[in-house]
Order: sequence, then C-alpha cells, then structure tokens
Amino acid sequence: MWRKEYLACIKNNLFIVVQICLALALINYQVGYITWMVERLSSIEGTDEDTYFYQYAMAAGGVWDMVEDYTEVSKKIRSLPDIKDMGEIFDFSVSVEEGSVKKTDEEEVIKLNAMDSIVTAAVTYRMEEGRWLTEDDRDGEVIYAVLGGELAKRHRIGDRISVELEPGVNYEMEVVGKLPENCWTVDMNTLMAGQKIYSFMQPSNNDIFVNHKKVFKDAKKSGFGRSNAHCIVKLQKDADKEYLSGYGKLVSFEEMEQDTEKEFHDFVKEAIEENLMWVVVIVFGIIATSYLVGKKRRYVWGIYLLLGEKPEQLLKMYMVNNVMNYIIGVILALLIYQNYLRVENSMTDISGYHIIVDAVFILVMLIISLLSNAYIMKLEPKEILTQTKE
Amino acid sequence: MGIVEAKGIAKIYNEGKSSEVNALCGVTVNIEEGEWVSIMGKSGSGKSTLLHIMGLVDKYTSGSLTFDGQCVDNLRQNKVADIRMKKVGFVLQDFGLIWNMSVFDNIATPLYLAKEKKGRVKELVSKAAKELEIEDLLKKKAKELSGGQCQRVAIARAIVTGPKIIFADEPTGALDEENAKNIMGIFAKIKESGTTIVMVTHDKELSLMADREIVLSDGKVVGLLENTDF
Repeated sequence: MWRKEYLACIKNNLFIVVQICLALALINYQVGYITWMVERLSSIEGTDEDTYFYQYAMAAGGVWDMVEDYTEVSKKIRSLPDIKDMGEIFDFSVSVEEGSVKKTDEEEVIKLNAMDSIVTAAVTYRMEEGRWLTEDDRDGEVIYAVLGGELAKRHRIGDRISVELEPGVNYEMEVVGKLPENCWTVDMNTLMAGQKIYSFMQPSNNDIFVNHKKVFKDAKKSGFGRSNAHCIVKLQKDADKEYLSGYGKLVSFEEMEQDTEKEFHDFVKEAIEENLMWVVVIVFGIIATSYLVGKKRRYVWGIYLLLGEKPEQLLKMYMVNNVMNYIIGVILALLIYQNYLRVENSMTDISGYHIIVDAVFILVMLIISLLSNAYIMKLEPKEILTQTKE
Repeated sequence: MGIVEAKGIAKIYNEGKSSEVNALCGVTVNIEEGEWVSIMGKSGSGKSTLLHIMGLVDKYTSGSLTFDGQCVDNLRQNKVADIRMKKVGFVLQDFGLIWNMSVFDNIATPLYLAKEKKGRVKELVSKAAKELEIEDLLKKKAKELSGGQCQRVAIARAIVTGPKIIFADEPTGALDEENAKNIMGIFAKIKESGTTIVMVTHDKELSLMADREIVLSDGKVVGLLENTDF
C-alpha cells in the first residue's frame, strides 16, 4: 500500500527529495572541507620544543633567486647566532620498481624525501601502520622507508622496493611505516605571497621518506630537486628570536598548530554564518512541504480510516513515505557530491564523517517529521464524511 | 439477535457549550441480519448521525451498541477499526473515491489495507467489478468517470471484502433519477445475496424499496414501518 501511496504523491515527493538533496549538498560540502582541515590539524604527532620552522629563511638567503648557492645559504643560516642546528629535506622525483613493474616519474610522480636527523626527530607524523624513522635507521645496512599516498596503499610493512634516484644510483629500501590516507606533511618548498602558516602543511601524495645517511648525502651531492624556501632550525634556550626574525620568520610547531586551529575555527564559524541559515531555510521548506502534503492527503487518509485502517498504520505509512524520500535524497546527494569531487579533482573523498552526518541529519529530520505529523494518530474516520473534496 | 442493536443511543455535539446540539435522543433500533433498512427523516433529524454510529464511524454520548453480537461500548478504536475492515462496507453520497487512482485500485483499497495477496486481490476485484458491470472501467482513473459509474465503483469497493453489512449514506443524492434507480437495483441484488443494507435517504420512493423504514425526527425515532404493509 505504501508504494501506491508514495506514487500517488510522486510530484510532492520529488520536490521534497530535491530539497533534501540541496540541504545535504551544503552539509556534505562543509563536512568535506572540515574533514580536510581536521586531517591536516591532526597529522603532526609531535615536535621538540626547541625546534622552529624558519619561514622564508632559505629564500631570503638568495636560494630562490639563484644568487647564492644552496651550500652557502645553508652555511650562512648555520652561522647565525643561537642556532644549534639546521634541518634539511631534499626531495626528488624518482622511479620506483615494484616487483616487475617500474613506475617512472612520467607515469606517476613519486617523491623521495631525504631527511637529516634534525628533521626526522623534529617532526613525527601520525602513522597508519608501522613506525616513523629513528636515529638508528641512519647508519644501518638496510635503508628503511616510510610511504605515503598511493604508494602506502600498494605496499605492506616489510615489502622491499627499488628506488632509482638518478641513472646508476639505486637503493633497495624496506617499508617500515605507512602514513594515513590524506596525511598532511610539512612542506619546505611552497612560497606564496601572503602565505598563512597553516598552508606549509601539504597533502602527502606518493612520498617516500628516508633518513639514511647515504641517501641523504647522495641527494645533497646531486643538488636539490626543488629549491627549499624554508628550513627547520634548533635554537639555543635563550636565543635572540628578534634578531633571527630579521632573516626569516621563526614559527614554533605549536604556533603552527594553533594557527591551523584558529583557521579551522574561523572556517567553521564562517561556514555556520554563511550556510547554516540556508540549511535552516531548506529544512523549514522540507518540513512545511511535508506538512502540507499531509494536509492534502487528509481526504484520502479519511477514506483509509473509514475502510478500517488504524491511525498508527497510517502514520507508519506516512513515515515510510518520508524514509523513502530521505533515502533517495541522501543517495542522490552523495552521488552528486562524489561527482563534484571527481570534476574538481579534489584530494578528499566521501568519508565516514559524511555518512555519519547525513545519517544524523536524516534521523533528526525524521524525528521532526514524526512530531509534526503526530496529529495523524488523532484523525478519525468521520472526517471523510464531512469532507468530500480531495 | 440483530446484527446491529442500538439501545438508548444519544449523541450530543459540543456538549456543555452554548452551541450544544442533541443530535440523537435515546434512539433504540434493531437491524436484523439480511434485511434492507432505510432511515428516513428531514434534514437535521439525526439520520446520518445514527448511520455513522451504527457503522462504527462516530462515537455516541450514551447508550449501548451491539454489533454482530459484540458490545462495542468500551471497545478500543483499533478493535473497532478491525470490525469495520472485516464486516462493514460504506457507500457515500459523494462516492469517497480516490480520484487520481485507477478504478481497480479504488476497489482494491480495502484489500490492500487488509494486506491481501496480489492474486486474491485481482480475483476479488474482478468478481466485484463483474457484479457491478464495470469490468471495462477498471483501468480508468476515478476522475474520468460519470456520477453513476463512480457510485458503482464505490459499491464495488464496499462489497469487495464480502462485508456482513453495508451502510449507505444518501447513495443516490448526487445522481439523476435513472442512475438512482439503477443503484437501487444493485442494492436489491446485494440484499438478495444475504448482505444487510442500512441506507439513509430522504427520497420516499427509493425508501419504499427497502424492507423496513426507520423514521427520525429531532433525534428521535418517530416511526418504524414495514414496507410490506404498503
């Protein structure tokens, strides 16, 4: 019977489905963005207290203008007062042989991040599986690697991969750790005007992290793939930060996290201000339409009651109608959202959060619908006898 | 024992308010199984109210009602609904059809509500449609039918579950003379099959077709006439 009842109100139901889609489109977009930011916020597990991100220091030293070479700029920064040490990452596009398949940088960009001990210890990431690199990994016979992005999906802990830095320079590496999907890692290269601190975190995509001395030395000897605009420094306890700030902006990782959190909260506030109102308007529209449909169906429901239907069965039939609308609405909304992500080449995907938020939305809406249509339980068959028009 | 026994039924609308109306004042009637009874009276005499109460559609203020041997005075509404579904058929003046549904679905609605199986629904609807000579209308929408056809569909819906009793509230009120006579002919056939019919009408000529007349005035029974006497 509910099928016939649903089809009898098909135009109204389609209108409600469109409204549900609209509300969920807004909600899913915001959930996607918030998830994206939360992942970035939670990627870094911890850093040392004396460790700072030295923003623009390498660029200010002339590296980006190629006025001075990297070694000179590096030396200059190391020689600045109160700087105990400096951490560097050299990243290269490499080719990787995985079993019988060789992935070249033309097919898929795979980035090798060769790190020194300062960087390895300064920034430790939240791991999906396995472990992060340690100081002991620098000198051993085996070169240990941590993988991110698609590479992490393709390999298991203990797998061996062959990495070609440049023709003739090959390494056998053993996978010891895997970064989570959508992990954000500290990026030393990006240089944009008005860049906010949080944007120094970039999504990890097909990254290989190693800290083995040999790889680091080879990488440093070969020059560096992309110029580093920034570096990581370790400072003396009472370092003159004001003086050092003349060279570049010193940002502690704690500040970076706070900045990211602030950005996150600002975004959520903005999203609430801008979109909540629309969601409320649409939700009101859904409830009003649903209520009006109920009012319009009163004549037919009166007939059902006259023919012996029970009020609770009627309410159940009406709620099944609503559940159908919400199920169709949420499936359509997720399909549209997925398509939108594909068209936009978005890094994010539909996550568990989307499903949870959409499920909560449906649940809340169904409860509201149940409460606003509870009058059905009080309908009496005699209504049909006093009401003759549909 | 009658199929419907009403003893001292009173119905007061807007009780305790200035607009209080005594629609029925201690009505006692007995409807025997298999008989055709018409309820006559002027407008406002309480005939429709009595029909609704006997049909278990409306509540009464006081008195006692027995339906098919079961006292329904304190019966829960869900039980009353069950009785309506299994034992009662209704025919209304304005037909009470669902206009954007097909004739088939309109007739089948009580069977859908009773969760009858698809094959059984088809069988019963075909049988009812055949009896009412509306087999060729089954695929049409109710809104495409004439008044006479609509009432045939409404009667088919009323008999499709094989009820013990049919309550008809001014069933010919919206029809012309010819269609009204046809509908009365249909009721006569239904009565022949053993189904009890209680019909409200203000048309004396049509009322004479029933076995018995109950005449109401100002909410009271003022006459009980056996039509064989005429």
